[in-house]
This record gives sequence, C-alpha cells and structure tokens, in this order.
Amino acid sequence: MTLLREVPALWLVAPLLPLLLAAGLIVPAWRAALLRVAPWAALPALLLALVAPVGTSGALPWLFFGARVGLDDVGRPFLLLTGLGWLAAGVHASGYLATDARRDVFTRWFLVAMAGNVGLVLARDALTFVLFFSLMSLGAYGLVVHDRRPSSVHAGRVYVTLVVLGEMALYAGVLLWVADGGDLAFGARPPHARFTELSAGLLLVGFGIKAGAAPLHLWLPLAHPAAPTPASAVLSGAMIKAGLLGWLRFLPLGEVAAPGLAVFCMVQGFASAFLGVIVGVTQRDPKTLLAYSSISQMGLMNVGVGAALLDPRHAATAVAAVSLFAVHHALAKAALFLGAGAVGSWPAGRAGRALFAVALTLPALALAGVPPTSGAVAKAGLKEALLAAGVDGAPITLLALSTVGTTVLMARLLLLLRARAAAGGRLPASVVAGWGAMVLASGVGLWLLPWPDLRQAVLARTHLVPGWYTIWPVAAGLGLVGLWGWLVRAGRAPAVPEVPAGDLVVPIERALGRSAETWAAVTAGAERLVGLGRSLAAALGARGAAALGRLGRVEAALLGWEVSGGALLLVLVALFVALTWG
Amino acid sequence: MPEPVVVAVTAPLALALAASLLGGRRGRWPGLLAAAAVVAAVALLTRDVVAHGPVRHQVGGWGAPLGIDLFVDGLALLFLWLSAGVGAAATVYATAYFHDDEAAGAFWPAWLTLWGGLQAVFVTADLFNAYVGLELLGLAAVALVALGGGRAIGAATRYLLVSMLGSLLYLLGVALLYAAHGTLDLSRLAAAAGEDGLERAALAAMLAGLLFKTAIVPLHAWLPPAHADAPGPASAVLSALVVKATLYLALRLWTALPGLATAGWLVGALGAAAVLWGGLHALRAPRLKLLVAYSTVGQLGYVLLAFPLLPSSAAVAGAAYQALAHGVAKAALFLAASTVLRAAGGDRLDDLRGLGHRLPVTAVAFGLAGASIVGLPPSGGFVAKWLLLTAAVRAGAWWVVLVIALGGLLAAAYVLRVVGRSLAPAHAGAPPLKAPRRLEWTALALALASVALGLVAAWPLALLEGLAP
Amino acid sequence: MTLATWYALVGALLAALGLHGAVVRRHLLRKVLALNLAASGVFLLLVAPGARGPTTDPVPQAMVITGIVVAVSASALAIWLARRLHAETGRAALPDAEDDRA
Repeated sequence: MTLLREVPALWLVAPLLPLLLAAGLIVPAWRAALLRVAPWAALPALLLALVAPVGTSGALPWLFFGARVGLDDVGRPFLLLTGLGWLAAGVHASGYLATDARRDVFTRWFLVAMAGNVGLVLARDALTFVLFFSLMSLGAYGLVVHDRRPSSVHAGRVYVTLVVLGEMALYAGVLLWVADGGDLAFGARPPHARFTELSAGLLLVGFGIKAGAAPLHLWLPLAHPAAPTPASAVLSGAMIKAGLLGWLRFLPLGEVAAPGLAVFCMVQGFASAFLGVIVGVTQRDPKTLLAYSSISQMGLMNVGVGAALLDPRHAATAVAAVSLFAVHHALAKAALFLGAGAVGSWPAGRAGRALFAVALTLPALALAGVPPTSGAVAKAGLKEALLAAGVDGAPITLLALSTVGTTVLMARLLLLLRARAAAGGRLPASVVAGWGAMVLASGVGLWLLPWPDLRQAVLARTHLVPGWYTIWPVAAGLGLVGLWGWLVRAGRAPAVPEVPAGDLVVPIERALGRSAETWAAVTAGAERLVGLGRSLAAALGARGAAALGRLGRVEAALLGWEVSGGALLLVLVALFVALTWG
Repeated sequence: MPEPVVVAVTAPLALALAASLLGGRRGRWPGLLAAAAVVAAVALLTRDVVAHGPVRHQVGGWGAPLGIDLFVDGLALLFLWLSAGVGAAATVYATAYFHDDEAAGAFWPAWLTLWGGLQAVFVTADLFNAYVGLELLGLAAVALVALGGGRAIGAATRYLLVSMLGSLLYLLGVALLYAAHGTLDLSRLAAAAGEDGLERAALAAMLAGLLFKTAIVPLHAWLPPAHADAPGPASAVLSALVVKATLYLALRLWTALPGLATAGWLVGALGAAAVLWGGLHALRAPRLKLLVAYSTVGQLGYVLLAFPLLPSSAAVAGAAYQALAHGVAKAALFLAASTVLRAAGGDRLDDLRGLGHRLPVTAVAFGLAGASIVGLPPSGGFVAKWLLLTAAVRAGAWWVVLVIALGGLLAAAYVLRVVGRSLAPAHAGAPPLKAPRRLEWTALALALASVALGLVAAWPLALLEGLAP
Repeated sequence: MTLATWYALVGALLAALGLHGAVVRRHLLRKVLALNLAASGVFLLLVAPGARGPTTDPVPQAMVITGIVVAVSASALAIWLARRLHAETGRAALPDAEDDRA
C-alpha cells in the first residue's frame, strides 16, 4: 500500500479503466474483446475500497488545478457500495443484454457513468468531485434513453432538464464554496472560511436533484425504471448516493452548528420519506415502486444529514450512520431491481421457486428493517444518531412511522412481483451471479464489513436482540396490509368464500385507478403549461428574431467610419476621464 | 549557440525571406522549418525560465535605450506557447490547404512575417519595439486577409485603415509617455509612473489604440468581415493570435502601471458589452465563419472582464488563461469551418445538416472546440471562466458573474446552432463530402488540445503564478 | 513659448487634423494621406522634447526613422489595396455596410 502513497496516479486506475474501455469500444475491431472485459471494470474500485488504508490520499498536481484523490472515513463506505454495485450490475448486464443489438452503446454509457461515479467518490477536492459528478450525469443519460421507447425518451428529456438545472446550481454553489473557503481541497477549510446560505442552498439543490430529494425527485420515478434493469440497479443503488456524498462533502458538517439548515434537511427528509411511500404504494410497475422507495429512503438519509448539521460534536456519529444506511440501501435496492428484472424467468421446479422467493424477499425484508438484516442495523444507527444530536420526540416517532410505510411498500412490491411472475427462459449464469451477489450482500453484507472499528461502532449501538422499537413498526406495517386485505374482502364480496391470495392488489389497484385519473389531470395540466411555455417561447422567438434584425442595423451602422470614429473618440475621452478622475 | 529568445523571433522572419525567394507552394518547406524552430526555441526558453526565472536579453549587447531589450516571464511564455502551438498547427494545415502557386506564394512570406512580428510583441521589454512588432504583424495580417480575394479586399482595406489608425493612437501615447518619463522600458516606467496628466493622456491614447486593434465593442465592426473572409489558416491565426498581441500589451501595461486601475471598470464594461454583443451577433450570423468570427468578438470581451479585478492573481490567471484557451479553441473552430467551406463549397449554416456523417472528424473537432468556447468542464475554456468567476466572487463583482453566465448561455446557443444542424439528418441527395485528411486532423488535434488545457491546467498556471512579476 | 512647446503644439494639431480626415474622408487616397499627416504630427510630438536641452536625445530620432519606414510600407500596401478595390468595384471607397450578410 506504500505503492499508493508513492504513485498517487494509481488511484486514477479505478476511474480511468472504465473510461479507457469506453473510449476503446468506439473502435469496431476491439469491441468483442473489450466487451468481455467491461463487466469487471469496477473491480479496481472495489479492491481499493477493501484494501486501501483509510486516510491515504495522493496529490496529482498536473491534473486540473492540482487534484487530490484518496480515501477517508466518509469515502470508504461509498467506495464499497459503488464498487460492489457497479461490479454486480456489470456482470449482470453482460448476460442481461447479451442479445441486445446495441449492447456496445449501452456498455459505453455504462462505463462512462461508472468512471464518473468512482472518480467522485475518490475525489478529495471540490473541482475533481464536481467534474466527475458531471461525467456521471452525462453517462446516466445514455442509460436512461437506451431502449429508445417513447417513455424512455420522455424520461431522458425530463432527466436532462433537471440535470442541466442541477449542474448550474452545483457549479455556482461550489464556486461560492471555494471563494468563501479559499481552498479547493476537502477537509482543508481554514477557520475563517464562511459558509453562506446561498452556497448551501445551491448545493442542496444541485445534489438534491441527483439524490431524488422531493420536490426535485420528478425525474427519478420516470428515469430509474426506464433504464435496462442493471442500469436501474446502479441508478437507484450507487449513483443516487453521489448526491448524498456531495452533501456530506460540502455541507459544514462538524464545523459549525447550522440549526436552520438542519431543520430544513429533516423536514425535507421526512417529507420525501412519506411522499415516496404514499405515491409508491399506488404504483403498478414494480420498478416505479422501487424508484419511489428510493426517494423515501434517501429522505431518511437526509434526516441523518440534518442531525449532523445540528450538533458539530456529534456530526461524525451521524455521518457514520448515514454512510451505513447508504451502504445498506444501495445493496438492498440493487438486489430488488435486479430481482424485479428476473421475475419473467420464474423457474418451474419447487426448489428453484423457493430460492427465487427467498432472493426476492430477503432484500425486501432488509429494506423494511426486519432484524437481523442490514436494514435493522442501519435504522438503529440512524435513530442513535438522532438521539446523540439531541433530537427526541416527534422525529423518532416519524422514523418509526416511516418504517411502517416501508413495510407496506415492500409487501406491495412482493405482491406485484408475484403477480408478474411468469415462466420464461433460463436466466443466464452472469445474471444469476450479479443478482445473487447483491442479494447476499444486502442480507448479510453489513455484518461482514472488513473494518473492525466500523463493525464495532455499529455493534456497540445496536441491540442484537431486536428491541421493541425495531419490531413494532414492521408488525404494524404487516398488520395494516392484513387489515386492508380484510376490508377489501369484507367490503367488496363478502359472500364469496374463496378470495385469491393476491386480493390485496385489487383495492390498491382501484386506488391506483383513481390516482391515475388524478395523475392524468396533473399531467394534462403540466402539458398545457408546457404548451403555453412553448407558444410563449415561439412568440419571444419571433420578437427575438425581430430584435436581432434591429441589432443587425446597429451593427451595420458601426461599420460606418463616422460612427466608429466617433466611438473611438468617445472611448478615448472616457479612458482619459476615468484615468484622471476615476 | 544563439539565444532561444532571439531565435523565436528571427527564425520566422528569416524564413519568410526564404519563402518569398523560393516562391509558390515551395514556401511550405521554410514554413515547416520555422514551425520546428519556433517550437524548439520556446521549449528551450521555457526550460531557461523555469530554471533561472525571467529571462532578460540585450540583442547584440547594445542595451536600452538604443538597442533592443527582450524580456520573457511566465505571462510571456504562456502567449509564446499559444503562438507556437497554434502557429505550428496552422502551418501544417496550410501545407494541405493551398492548391495554386499564386495564393501559396503570397501566403507563406506573409504568414511567417506575421509570426515573427507576433513573437516580437510577446518578448518585448519596451513599448516602442512593441509598436514595431504590432506594425509588422498588422501589415502581414492585412496581406493575409486580402488573399481571400473578392469580398475580402474590402475587408482587408478596412482592416488596414483600422490598424493604421489604432497604431497611430498607440504611437501617440508612446510619444507622450516618452516626453513625460524619458523611457519606454516597461520595468522602468513602472518605477517612474506617477500622477502626471501627460502620462494619463498617453495611457488613454495607447489603450484606445490597443482596444481598437483588439476589436472591442463598439470598435469591433471591422473584425468579423476580415476574419470571416480570409483564407482558412489565415482566419485561424488572425482570430486566435493576432488580436491577442494587442490584448497582451494591454495586460502588460495594466500589471506594470498601477495608475491604470481607475479605468478598470470602464474596460470591464466594454468587455461586458463585447461578451453580450458578440454572442448575440453570433446567434444571427448566416454563415459559419461569420459566426465563429463574432464568437471571437464575444470571447475577447471575457479577457477585459478581468481588468476591473486586477491585480488579483486569479484575475491575471483568468485573463491569460482565457486568451490561451480561446486561442486554441478558436483556431480549431476556424480550421474546421474552413475545411467545411472548402469541402462543401459554401458555409451557409443551413447547408450544414448531416455534417456529423458527412465529415465526422471535422464535426467532432468543431463540437469539442465549441465545448471549450462555451466553457463546459473539463475544457480549457471552463478553467478560464472558473478563474474569472473566482476572482469576481472574491471581489464581490456580481455583475461580472452575471455577464459570464449570460455569455456562457449565448455561447451554448450559438454553438448548438452548428452542432444541432450537424447532427440532424442530411438533406436528401446531399453529396458526400471529402476533405484532405491533414485538414481534418489538424483541426481535431487543436480541438483535443483545447480540452486538454482544462485537464492539465495546473502546468500552465504554475508557469504563470510562480513567475509573474 | 519655447521651441519645444511650439513643436508639440504643431504636432498635436497635425495629428488631430490627420485623424479627423482619416475618419470623415471617403476616398481611400484621402484617408491614406490623412493618416500620413497624422503620423507626421506624432513624429513631431516625439522629437519635440529633444529641443529642450542643449544636447539632442537620439532615441526619439531613432524612433521617428523607424516610424517613417513603417508609415511608408503601410501607405504602399494601402494604395495597392485601394487599386484592387477600384478594379473590383469601380469605386475607391469602402462600402458602408456589408451588403452580402444575409
């Protein structure tokens, strides 16, 4: 590992390998060979996450303004989830898209987004971070629109709009951040560094778009399901965490107490958490439901960010809890997306079916926070962090209530998946491998974390024997699901003795029908707004053309010698005046 | 062994003579030789400056005031590299561009003279020698524009008159300055500068002349026709290098003479006007080369935006980097546009549909260089705008931030006018286009360099920061 | 009034006249002549301080000689261009606007 210290450019192998592979894929002659290597492109990142010692970083004085890359306490969990997520998705994609005619195009965007994601996690200075962030955003666009269906193209358009807005906010926010702090490097802000609300607001918006923070989440339920399954898994698993990491990097965590910002983050976080559940539960498409679930879970992480902002002394605890939650969610969500893509290949044999059911259920249980899965650990950690920051009462109750919601959501997901289960061709081995790895990781991954200190910290805060606090929300959620089913049975056809096991789908679907009408009205309204904007733009365009025409006349006049001579005299006199009396 | 700083100036001049003696297309051999000599000389010069700090050289040992003193520091090196890189690329491009002996026979001597004059301006230590360099490159530049023939003759005539008028104002300032202080050496002037009315008048005249020759709004109307109608490689060096010579002198004056600071806001305001005006006109330009020329008007304005923020080191770096990044990207744009013009026989924007398929290498070059002009990360243009924005935010100059943002939007809009059309499907029956590979790949090399300027910004910036006076 | 001031005043007047002519005259030959007049004015301004003391400062003299060479070359180029323009358009004046923009 001294090698990493002596040759800091080695850090760059992790982001550069996918980038070079993406570039190489342009050459037709190399394509076949490179496509065989591409699934493993995230391996260097994963290796770095596992073996590189925390606290090492290297300066790359020749890159950008002089970049720094490396690994710290905050970066390590994110590198782990990024490396693991991309590796599993890459392996999965090699089988999932084996027959896709445009597989090379997909792989190229996939690798570009991967390079950006890995690079931003390794970045130890502001500029390197946002440059890789932009690269990831760019690559993700190609993933969203890959299948070129109208819905995907539409999702891509919404995505690009929000990304452009987000990047503008981001660069403005980072610029202010740098101008206020005087240094690009993370963790090197001098004590006199200011932290302005404007900068914080811009960063919240810029990263919030990627993190799906309501109400900036609009693109997410459209775009995450639009992408091919392995891409959905990384979008909702790894890439969404880049927005969170951005907050952890740029907000003044552990530096100052920012109560206003903290309350804002918590309110926003809980709003996201419940919005994700309430809208998500009405969804018919499992992938869309999962996307809403991501919005909900990211909201909970933002609550943790709020806790870190509240009290600088306990910020480290909160950041650790949020990072842990991020790892847990990345793994579970990726496993669920990959599972949702596999239900079309429902196996025929009993053993196969059982295995399938377990593989689908395990990450769902983890997400709901059923002990002793990673989800229970993550949620307990978050609660501890809130308590440590001095938050008690309503937020703790809301946290528990969100678990109720997540449980309902996951039950709904499993019912939907079961309804969609259909016999199909055998899954390719690589698909099974990628999916299986994610399922295993989400189930037991957190217990196998390779860092004893982190594991100790987790264990110290978590009661292995599930406490009442972890059990009642899950139980309540399941109870709610049962109650709902009983109501349906009772209200709809009490005389029918046999109700199919999936009857819960019916009332939910009726609710969905209503919400679909509402949704249609909303979208119609939005379309009308868009149309209005378009005609306004057209009118402005006509005006603009006329104005440009007038500009042309001014320009022609400037070509005349009298005018330009007069202008020259004017500039001359103005310069003299400014120099003399300025 | 001759001093590299002397070789950097005299090699192109001597080889210009050789090119005119050889005549016709054979002039390309002295041209290529000059490119090699200039690049080697600038590289050696860089080594010297990095090792020993700024270089001062008395040509022939005569010494000031009657002899010629040369001075090279980090700022000068940055511009010398710009000149060496873009000049070498334009030279290679020109070897494949000119078919007939007559045009080539006029091009090579004029271009090499221009190059020598340019290098002379960048290494001069004295304001009068700068005038001589400016005249040398100005006259040669006019000759290059006139090579375009037809419409270009009028543009060249206008350019010459502007050039003479601007130079006269500059010379007037030099005369007054000499009357006031008895020296024209920049470092001695910096020491002598005071609260003198004569000095104020002198500086006002010099700056007005320099701004006129730099085509700063509202003194810019001569530039678009001249740059757009010149032959391909000439357009590139005019827009990328020639206007930078006067800009360089203005920057030098500004960093040397603190008394100029009070005019900063005025120059900045002119720069802001240029950014917006140039951008708007690029939006309505009907021809590709005219669009690129108006983009130059706008991009030069960015450099002036740094003047009210001087002498902060971020502002100096931003101004210099903008000049550098714009030069490389603009040369790439003009070379690509000229390739299109030559291959398609015209460069009306509406005829560019399907360019992405018909001339892919050129279209990619245009897109990459355009990204740098817009300031998209991680290009050189991004680094330049980032530095300017940092300087502006630190100084609390929010209007500069606003202008840079608006200018970026305008630039994105006019670059998209071209890129959008080249990605659109071609008109039915549009003939496939063919261009010599050397033309296409030279433009691409410059475009890649314009992006690389962002990736390795630390190197040029270190050169600038460690060594600026 | 010293000799130096006298030279400077005449020089400034010539420069102003020349610059004015270069802007308002349409015929190219007149423009070129006016610019030459302005140049002469500037040269006079340059040598004027030399008349102050008993010894003559050689530096302005050297500059003026260089300036004259530059002015002659520029004038030659301008006249050649004016002839080309006349041959192409039949006029020895610049068009006021580019008529082929559209």
